[in-house]
Amino acid sequence: MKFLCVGCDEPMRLSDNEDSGEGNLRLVFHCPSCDHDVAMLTNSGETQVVQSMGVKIGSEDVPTSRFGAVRSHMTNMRQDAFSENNGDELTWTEAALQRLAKHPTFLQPVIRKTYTDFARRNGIREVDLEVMDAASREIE
Amino acid sequence: MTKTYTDILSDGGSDVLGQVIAQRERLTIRMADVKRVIAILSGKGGVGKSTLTANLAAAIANRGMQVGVLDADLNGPTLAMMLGVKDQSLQLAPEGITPAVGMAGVKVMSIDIFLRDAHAPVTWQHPEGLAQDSFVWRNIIETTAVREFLSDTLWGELDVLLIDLPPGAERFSTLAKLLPSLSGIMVTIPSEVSYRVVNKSIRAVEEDGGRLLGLIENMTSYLCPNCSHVGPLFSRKSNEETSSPALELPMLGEIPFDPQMAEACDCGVPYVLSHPNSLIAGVFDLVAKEITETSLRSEQ
Repeated sequence: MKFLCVGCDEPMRLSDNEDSGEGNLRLVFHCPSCDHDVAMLTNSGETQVVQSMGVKIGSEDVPTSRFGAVRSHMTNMRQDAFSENNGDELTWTEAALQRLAKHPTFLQPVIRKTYTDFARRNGIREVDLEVMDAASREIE
Repeated sequence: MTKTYTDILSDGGSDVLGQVIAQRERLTIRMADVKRVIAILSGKGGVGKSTLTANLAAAIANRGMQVGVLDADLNGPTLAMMLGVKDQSLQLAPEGITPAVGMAGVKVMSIDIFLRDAHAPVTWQHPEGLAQDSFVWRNIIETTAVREFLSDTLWGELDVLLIDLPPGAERFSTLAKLLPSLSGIMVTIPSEVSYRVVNKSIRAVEEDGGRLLGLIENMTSYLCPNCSHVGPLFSRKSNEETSSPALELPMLGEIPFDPQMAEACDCGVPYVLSHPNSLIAGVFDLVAKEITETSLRSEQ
């Protein structure tokens, strides 16, 4: 959607935007030639349709948040679905790796992830036998 | 002379079109490390698409390949449970989200992982007082969600990404617009009703320029767990419904029905892993071999 100042035949520029908080947007467009302003008002349904596309209106900032639309529009989401990855890699003790290796190969990735999630949730940096036991108790 | 839409380059500030193009570019970049993207689809519901997807993923992984699974059946997600990742949490990083890791190392992304309890439906926020109008944007947000699942998941290098689709051919056509390299596997059961609907879906996909690798007939027979006798589960389909277009597709595999297959899915361990020496695991292995080699041949 583009705005044209009919009198000047000049494209208008977005100069202001305001969200009422109820999904009603007020976007002000300005004619650089004659300084005339017009406002486009959208109701909450119209705003919702556009935002459902995962785009942001009223700003030149392209949304960069990952899963932005899902995380902002989905209800019924569990609180711990996402955890921040601060880049710290977990380490595994030799004994812990040996215990992991006793499980069938096809199960190991899931079991490893279970212990990793437990360690991260509890701020643990190294998975050892004690951590594995604690995680197992939690699952039981 | 009054300027027209095309005379004006930008929309004045939001650059909505630029944002849409950026979304597409993000998807292209993410998919660059994925060798094959294959959708599992059917016009008919209840034919076992998700069960086939879980087992096919495991069978491909068993062949030493890196496999990802995207559960695109947003309103009936089951793959998190079938692949044993339901309770995992996902690592959020600036560049994307680490997928869950399921049986045999299969990477899994499913909206089911996000849901707060086992019985919670997938619902989307709507403006106050407009609940009855949510159908207007529901399709849009669901398509956006699937795009985000594809482009914002850190899939890494994959030999195959399987996408489990909801019933119907339309979602395949939408995905094919986002993923030009997408191919599909059509699933049916050997009933006249199923073939009738699946034939329509095949035609819809082909008329839209989509590419199908072949057909899998699920529940093609009943495998007795006691005596291993194999018998028909459905009355055979009529000649009319076994004719084109379904029969013009390569038959990739015929999977017998075995109640233990559903039990294995309920436990989060695909049947091909819990019963690696079974007849069914052998069929899945052949399908895995065929589709990976077929898609490889078509690339050459």
